[in-house]
Amino acid sequence: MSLPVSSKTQSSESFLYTGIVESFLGKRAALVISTLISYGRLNIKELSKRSSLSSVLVKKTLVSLIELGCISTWEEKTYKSEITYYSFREEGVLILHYSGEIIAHIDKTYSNDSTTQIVQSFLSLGNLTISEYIQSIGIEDKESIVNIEKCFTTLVNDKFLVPIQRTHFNSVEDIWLQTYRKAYSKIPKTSTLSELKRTAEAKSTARLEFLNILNFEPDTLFIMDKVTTYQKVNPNISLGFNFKRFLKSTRSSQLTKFCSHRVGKITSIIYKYALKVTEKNSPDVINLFHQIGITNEEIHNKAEYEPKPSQLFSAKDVLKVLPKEVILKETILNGPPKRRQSNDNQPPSSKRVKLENGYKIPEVDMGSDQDEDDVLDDNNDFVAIDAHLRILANSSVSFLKKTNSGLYYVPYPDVMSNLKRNVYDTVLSSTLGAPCARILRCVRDNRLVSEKLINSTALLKEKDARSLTAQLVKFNFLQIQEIPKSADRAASKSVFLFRINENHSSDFIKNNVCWNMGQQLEKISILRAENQALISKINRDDVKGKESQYLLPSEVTQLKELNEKELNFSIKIQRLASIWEVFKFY
Amino acid sequence: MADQETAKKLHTLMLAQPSDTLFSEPELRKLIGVETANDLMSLIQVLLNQNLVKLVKQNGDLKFQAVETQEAAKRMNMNQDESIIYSYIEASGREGIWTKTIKARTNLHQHIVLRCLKSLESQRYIKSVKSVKFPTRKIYMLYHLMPSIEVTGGPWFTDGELDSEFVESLLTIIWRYIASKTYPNVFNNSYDLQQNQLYSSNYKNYSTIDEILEFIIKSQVTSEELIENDIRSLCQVLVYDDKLEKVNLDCYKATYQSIIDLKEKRVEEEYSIFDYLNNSTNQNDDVVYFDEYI
Repeated sequence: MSLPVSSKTQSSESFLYTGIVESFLGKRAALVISTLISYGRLNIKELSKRSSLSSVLVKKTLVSLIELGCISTWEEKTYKSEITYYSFREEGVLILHYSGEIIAHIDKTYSNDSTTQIVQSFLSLGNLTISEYIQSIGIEDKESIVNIEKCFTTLVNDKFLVPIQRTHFNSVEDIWLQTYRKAYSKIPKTSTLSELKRTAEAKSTARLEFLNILNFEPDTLFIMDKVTTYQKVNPNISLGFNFKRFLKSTRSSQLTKFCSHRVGKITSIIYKYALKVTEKNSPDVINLFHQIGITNEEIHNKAEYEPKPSQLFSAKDVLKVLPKEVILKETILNGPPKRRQSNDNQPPSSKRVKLENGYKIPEVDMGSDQDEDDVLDDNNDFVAIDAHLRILANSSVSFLKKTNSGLYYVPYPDVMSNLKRNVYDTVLSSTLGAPCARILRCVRDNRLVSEKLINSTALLKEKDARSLTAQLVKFNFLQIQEIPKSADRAASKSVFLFRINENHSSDFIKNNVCWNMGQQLEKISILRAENQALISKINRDDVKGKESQYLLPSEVTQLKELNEKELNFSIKIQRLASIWEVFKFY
Repeated sequence: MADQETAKKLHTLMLAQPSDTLFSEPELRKLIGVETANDLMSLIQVLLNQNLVKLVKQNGDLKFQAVETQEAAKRMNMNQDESIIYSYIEASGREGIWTKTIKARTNLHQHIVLRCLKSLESQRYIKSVKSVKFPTRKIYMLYHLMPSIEVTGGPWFTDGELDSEFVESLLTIIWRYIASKTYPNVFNNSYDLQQNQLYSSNYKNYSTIDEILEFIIKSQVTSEELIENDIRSLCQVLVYDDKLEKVNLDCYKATYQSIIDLKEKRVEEEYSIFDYLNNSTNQNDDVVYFDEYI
């Protein structure tokens, strides 16, 4: 059995997702996923026909895929019978893809083995109740059970685990369509509303209902523990891992890295904890409404981002969570060294450096004497944190904004679009070089530019600029626009200008990076296939753990090489994923 | 003879006025003290024969302009074609004139135009200049004139070519100046990216165009005369390089990313695309964003 070529060629995401499913669940599951991506929603009969698998095999495969959330189901009643449809669910595959990082993140955040183990079980089994989990690990000791329950309470409080309901297994598109149809049918047909108004009204009522369905939380999620009188999670409610919550963490980590490169390392540490304070209450990374095809204009204006009260914080809140190891003393200065201020009116230092080409670079008086620096009175950490937060609020990239009441919040739409643009520019600089990035920013700044304008404003030689713009056009960073100059629109007389279509270009990079991730996965599977004999040998029960005894020296070397290569590919995938997620989710 | 002398006197009087003054007929009559236009015309004719006066049409009126004696002597040596071509070149001023335009305006055959241009150039009456805008065109202007900025391309061009070394040096100087103002002790050897100090948000840590220009002039790094606009365009290039960011109109700050790139050290322990310059591993191996997709 082999995967159809279309799994690789129809879209880069299909290539990646089938690759991921293949590496975790095998070829048959990958074939089912690939078929569903190609054809959309299918029932068992159709699925078996399109994938050329018997319906028994398809059903067997579907069980694990549904458990892991890679496929969603939908039941549709007709007057004859009830048909179950299956459709591809991206979130499940993404959880598989990020599983390693999720575990690492949980381990780093809580530094508690039990918590990590809980999350690990959820990732491999899909969803569980607490009592099922406790049963599965076979613990009877009361203290350990209380400890595990505490871990569960923390995870549910931090929203890493959420209660599972029936709709969890349905696709959001189907739920939306059903809610919308219901709302539409409720509007009386006799009313004099126009069709446009009728649709808009149905959409607005359906939107509320839709959110209620998806964010439903059972009343009995938390119950009082009779022994300890603490609140604990109801052990009989099924829980599942909340991927959206993990995405919020990756967003925070991306923003922290961005901040450390735009403002500074110390400030980025403070920013990291500031983000942590409001992380669980922050807006979702993926807007649900975008998923179901409602445009931004229909929801709200992007520019009018208004934070909820739970998303506001002050320097005090950051101080509470900031580890004591972070030393903030002397990190903020009120001004340059005093010695320098008094020298301001005197001619600059006579020391000059002569370069090879004969130009001199004058030495700027740096005021190296740190003792004389006008250091802010920041013995008080609170003052220092507030000073750092103010720097973030006044930075050219709006990492934070200050409300009238003196509290801070993260303006997510602004800062995310800034992050996206910066990552985009850095990808360009790292692949095609800094001069290309100069041209790109020049075109972005001037919107529609001619070659001559690029030469004169970016101060590049004509020949260089021409070859660089050609490269940029080749990689879709720039688009060419033709401006006809004659009535017959003769190409020879037309002028060609350059412009940027940001959505188009970032989509191109997204697909590019995604395809390369798929490619790396494929390389891993080829590598494994090439070393099949060795892999099956080391997987034998008698060889496991006694490799040095049972393997030949050549096999040991081969095994080392195999591990190293696999590790290399995995690192590349992880690096690519860190770029891909910026274009995919933000 | 009397006419000759009066004409000379008129010429001297005209030259006594500021150069490029255009005289109308009544003004000239008043200047030399003749009653009728006829008398004046005979004097003008004498001067015209010796190329000492130029006729200029301004707003439909005929005006007269005095020509220096040396200039007139030059003209006297030229033949008629050369004289016509010379006058077009003269009229083009510091912008210069393209050979094809001369041909079109004078209606002369190309051979004649080329011959005249060659002769005028050999006598050092005119010179050919390279235009930055139109590098393939042959452009002529008077020998003693300095080509305009449009033709030379401004201080960034030497012999019609962009002097990228000069531009790069100036960019480095300006960036270092602004960076030293934006971040404290940034060029100290002991500067640590992990423990960086910052100026508080109420301290003015940006530089204005005026300050940069003053610094450049004081430090005498270039003999070129730079103006505010030149500095502005250099700062704009630095913004395009992501080395500076514009804070306000004519106010610039250095970006922290540019400092990191200078120090060539990684800021993050984990992988970050922003550390691409400083990743220790082989870059070509890592950069796989485009390799096989296209």
